[in-house]
Amino acid sequence: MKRNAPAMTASAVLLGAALAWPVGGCGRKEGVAPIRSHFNRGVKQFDDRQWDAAAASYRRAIADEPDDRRARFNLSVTLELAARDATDAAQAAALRDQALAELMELLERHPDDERALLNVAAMTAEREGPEAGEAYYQTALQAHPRSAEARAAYANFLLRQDRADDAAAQAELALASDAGSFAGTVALGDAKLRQGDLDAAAKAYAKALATAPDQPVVLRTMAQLEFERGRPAEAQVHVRRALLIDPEDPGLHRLAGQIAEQQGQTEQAVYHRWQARDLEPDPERAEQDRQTLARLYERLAATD
Amino acid sequence: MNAYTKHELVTGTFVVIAAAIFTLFAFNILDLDLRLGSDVEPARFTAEFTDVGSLTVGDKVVFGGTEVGKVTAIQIKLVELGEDQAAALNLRGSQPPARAGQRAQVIEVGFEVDDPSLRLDPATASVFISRTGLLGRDTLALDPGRLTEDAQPIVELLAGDPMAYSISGQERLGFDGLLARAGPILSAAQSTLDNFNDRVLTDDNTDSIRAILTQVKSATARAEEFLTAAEETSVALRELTGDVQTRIDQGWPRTREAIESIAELAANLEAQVQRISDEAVEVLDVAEAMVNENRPELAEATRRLRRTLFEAELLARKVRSNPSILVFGDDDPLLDAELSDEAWLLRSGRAQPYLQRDERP
Repeated sequence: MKRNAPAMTASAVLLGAALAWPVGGCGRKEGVAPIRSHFNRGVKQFDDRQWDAAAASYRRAIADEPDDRRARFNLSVTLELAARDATDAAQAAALRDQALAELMELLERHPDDERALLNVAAMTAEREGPEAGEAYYQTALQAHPRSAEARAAYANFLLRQDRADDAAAQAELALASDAGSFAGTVALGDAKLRQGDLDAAAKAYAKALATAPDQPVVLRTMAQLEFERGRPAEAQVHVRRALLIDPEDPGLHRLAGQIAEQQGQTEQAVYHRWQARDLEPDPERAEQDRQTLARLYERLAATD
Repeated sequence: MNAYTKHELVTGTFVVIAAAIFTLFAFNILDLDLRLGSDVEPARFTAEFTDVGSLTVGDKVVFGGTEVGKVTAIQIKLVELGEDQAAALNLRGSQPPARAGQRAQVIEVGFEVDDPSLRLDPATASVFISRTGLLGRDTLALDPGRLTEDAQPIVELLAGDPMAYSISGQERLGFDGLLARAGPILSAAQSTLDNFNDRVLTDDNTDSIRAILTQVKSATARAEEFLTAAEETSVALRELTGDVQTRIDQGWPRTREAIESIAELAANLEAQVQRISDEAVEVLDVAEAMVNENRPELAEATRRLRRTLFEAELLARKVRSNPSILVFGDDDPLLDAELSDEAWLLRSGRAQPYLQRDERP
């Protein structure tokens, strides 16, 4: 028995190593790490638009660590998106209240939390009016004066109030803080577009596209811009790319239909209008699409 | 000779009993017959298939879910293809296409039927390969064919006959076959839908279409009336013309009066033609307007039907590639991306959510 002891020990070590290899993740490749925490699971579920599941995961993360500001903030965003998709108005209102309550809880623990302040500002502006909301944006900017994200969010708020000049100034400040800020670049493009400076807007969007080439937000805006500049072929390139990424956006289909119609591609226009009408949740817009479709069909019948 | 102690005998007995129990258990698990010899002489058959799937020797032969025999042999055989066999090969994409009468290799399955009560008609009986469950094994399913009142049990009839009777083997369709058969139908349906986009009726426009049809029917009835009247008028005109000719020839004094009558009839006829023509144009206008007006609904119905066909085909392909989704469900979404939420968050003045944390130890 004793003679075999070294061999048995070696065998045991080898066996242990073989078992430990996959368990310990020695052979794990980057990017395929298993999700272990509730927070990361929540992010995955959020990306999959499983709002209920994501909210549950974030709640578990908060239960594990009540001071987890990231989980609480993401929970609030998730609840807002769930409210946006809810069909029942009362349920949507309740979800929005919960979202705001989570942010308030977060601000009680961390009064200068940038993202919480920005989202409370947006929600307050929608609930109580722009003045009340702007106060929160000012607070966020006082706490984080060099934050490009905060400036960009404020610029977007100003754009919603039709204050394009102020928005452009805030976007410029955002880019002064961080020249590569995607949100700041898009906000600048939006502001320039609102001011009627199409070339400057196109320049800003091109820069944003260079930063994030697969952002449907920018692709759509770029397509709209090129269309308005009388360059439908260029617009069509952007809108097609955007549709590849986000094929269920009714606005994109509507724009693609407009572009196709202007180019005399009536059948393409009909196709996109159909998609827009089918995907559009707003009945009034869907009715407008129906009327446009009827007109397009008359045109098709006339050309047959 | 060794003398065994009591202790050894008891231990040995337990070992033997345990071995016997395990043997019984193993036979039961493997569904094997413990009888060393059967008093039933089985009837032997063969059947040909172009594809036997996972069927192997020893698999069950079943009738109505009851085991009546087992597969005894599977071998390749060179035969002249029948029409069904050629069609089955072509459904699986045989290149070049197989033809009936062409020599080709098929699979011959030999099987025995040992159920003493089973009656079957070898001339009309057939077998086909069936799967007992989604994850189960293939079995050979038996269709006993047409039976007469005085038919004898097959085991009794063929007892002791060493020759195997040949039974028709029905080819399994499978998902490939289903898709191959459904493909042209789907294409035809799609083509029809494309070509007759505006002829699909929906609940919404049934009333409108019915109104059009009623008007068309009414116009048709009026057209028939008109044609009858025109024919009568034409006859009358011919008679009158002949009469007038005769009278003129005879120097009838009232020729002018007759000619005036003809002119009156002609004018009357023209008025009728105009009226019918106007009505027809009106009906066509209404029909055109209704079709144009309802075309979006018709096209939507078409689009939804086409989408349903697409999803049905997609499901068939998924099930073919992974039948377990029927048992465990399918949480694989359709290949359509969801709406982007980034635009809303960005442009509403909100901050983006946090991304995943690094979990590396």
